[in-house]
Amino acid sequence: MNCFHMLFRHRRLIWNLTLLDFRLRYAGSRLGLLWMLLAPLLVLGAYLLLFGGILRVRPDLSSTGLEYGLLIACGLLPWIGFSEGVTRGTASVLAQRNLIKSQVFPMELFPVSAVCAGLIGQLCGILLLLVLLGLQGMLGLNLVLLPFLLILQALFTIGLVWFLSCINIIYRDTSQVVVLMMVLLMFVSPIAYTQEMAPAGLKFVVELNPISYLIEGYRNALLYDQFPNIRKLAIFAGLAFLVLLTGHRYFMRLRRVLPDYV
Amino acid sequence: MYKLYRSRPYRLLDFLGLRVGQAARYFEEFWALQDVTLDIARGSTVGVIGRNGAGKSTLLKLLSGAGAPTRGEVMLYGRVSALLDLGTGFHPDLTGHENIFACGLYLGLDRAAMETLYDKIVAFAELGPFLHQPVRTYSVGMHMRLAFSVATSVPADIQVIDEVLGVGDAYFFGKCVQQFRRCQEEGRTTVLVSHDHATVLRLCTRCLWIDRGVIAADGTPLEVVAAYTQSVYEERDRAAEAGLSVSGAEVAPAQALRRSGAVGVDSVQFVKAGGVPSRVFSIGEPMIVRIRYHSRVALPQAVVSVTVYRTDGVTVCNAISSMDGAKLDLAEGEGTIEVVFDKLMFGPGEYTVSVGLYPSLDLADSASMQHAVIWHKPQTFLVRQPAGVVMDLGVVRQPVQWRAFAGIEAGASGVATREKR
Repeated sequence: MNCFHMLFRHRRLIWNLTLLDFRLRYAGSRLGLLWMLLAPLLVLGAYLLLFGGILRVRPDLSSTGLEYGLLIACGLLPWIGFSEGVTRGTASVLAQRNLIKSQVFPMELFPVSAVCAGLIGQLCGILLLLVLLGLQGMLGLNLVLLPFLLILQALFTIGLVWFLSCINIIYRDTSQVVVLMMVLLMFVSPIAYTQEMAPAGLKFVVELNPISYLIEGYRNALLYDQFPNIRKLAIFAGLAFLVLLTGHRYFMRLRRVLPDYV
Repeated sequence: MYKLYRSRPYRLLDFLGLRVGQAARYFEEFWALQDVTLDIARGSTVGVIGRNGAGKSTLLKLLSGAGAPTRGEVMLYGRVSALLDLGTGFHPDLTGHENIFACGLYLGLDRAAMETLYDKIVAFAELGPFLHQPVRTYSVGMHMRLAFSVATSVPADIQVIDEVLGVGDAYFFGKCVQQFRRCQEEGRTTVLVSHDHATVLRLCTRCLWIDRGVIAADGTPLEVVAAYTQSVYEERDRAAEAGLSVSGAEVAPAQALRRSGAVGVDSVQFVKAGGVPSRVFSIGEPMIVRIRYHSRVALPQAVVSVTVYRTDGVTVCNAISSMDGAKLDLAEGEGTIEVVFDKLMFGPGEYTVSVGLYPSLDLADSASMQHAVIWHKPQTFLVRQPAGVVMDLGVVRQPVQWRAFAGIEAGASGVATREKR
């Protein structure tokens, strides 16, 4: 559990690093932080156009375009937060090679701050979504689950990224593979569809994808105002803790030799 | 006290296979440093010299904590600030201003702590309007100024600085020297790698010469720099010799002379006016360099050269007998040659001498320089400040005349002032 202790002890540093991460990402760009909302909106628009407009997908026949849009947004926002955290986090340690080579720095924090940056972007989108849902009168009590979901997502992503960023230093191919995996994973994540819409024969693919549990959780809390399936949530929570602790152990074991490889 | 215990071998593994394991066949081992044991006392300024790839930077990396020794341990007592690379942790797209705070973050200083240091850092770096420009627009010198300023301004007990001073201009270098002095007064321990031996001599209280991963010499800067310089010359001569032996028959006679020991320089002595050998001279005093040689053949066209080097490697003067119009007709057997320096005009400091004995020498042909029988054992002499003078008298004691006049007319000197056209 010294992993949680470490995260807590460095909370201010993590926060500052995250801010720096944002500044770095948008340094020199005209629209700056606006991209944080603009990017998901554009992707959302594309999804709506493709699935709602062209392919005419509907979760059920009665639902309107707006409802479908909200459904996509509920899946898309966590997805973007997750995939951004993973891709940027994987490269984060290597990106700081100059620093690592010459200074003592708790480098395990770079992946953490990359994940946090992704989550903050996601949170901004979700806040906007909440406003929209509020206007529709669709918000309910199950909203209290939101922070819980965010934390679970953070733990899962941080653990994963600890592992990936380490490997990325030794095998630089990792970040390429990760980008590819993210594309593939996106297709099997129920973003523009729901788990129920998958054909019975292929359902297991979605079930095997841990992100689908997460997305379902967000949908239940935000859109349907339902208490999420406890079994599924427990599976994801267990997985998140497992990944976090394993990732932490792995990173800490390798961190001593990492400066030789960067 | 800050102690560095058995900072023994450091291993860079050449990564070839698919495993990070210990299986030796996956790796080619390269020990950048081996059997290095040293203590560095608090408050000392240690210069590290040595050739490229000798392990200097690895040592600094170990000291900064950025690298872990494969075997052995490093014990540091205090907070370390490291400047190992130009612009460590600088983000090219952020401005200098933003980078200062980013650096602080990496050094574990929060914004408030950095705020108090900010003015000092900015004042020292003197970036002017560039402070608010992205760092990618900076010149190497500006980059270095900012990096150096940050590294030396943040609170630390130990600072570790790699060869970066070389990129600053003379003005900034002077400021760096002052900054170092200030750090010394504060009791900060500094370990500094430099290829500029004058810097080491000027700033350091101790010097380490690292050669192929081991400490070749450890002592006062003067001693160590002299030993290192000597080895560089020897290496150069050996390389020249190796090159010549390949280049063929033309040089063979001179080579043969030296190889066979037919001609050789036996000793070099420094002698005072009264004929007493000495190693210490005062400015303006006469000095005689006495060279004893032997030759099994007569050398009717011999040329002798006496080259004086400063310990930082600068050639101060090169006296060549043929250039001074001296005809040396050396008979076979043993003999003595004396080179008389009427008045030593060198400034205070330590000098090394190398003597060359050439069977013949064509000054217009640089290759003929190589035919020498060169004597190069470390032989140094010291030039002292005149008693009671503490002021730095410079590199050369150039004889000058002084005149003073009343009024502002300089005409009385007899030198016509040139008019502007």
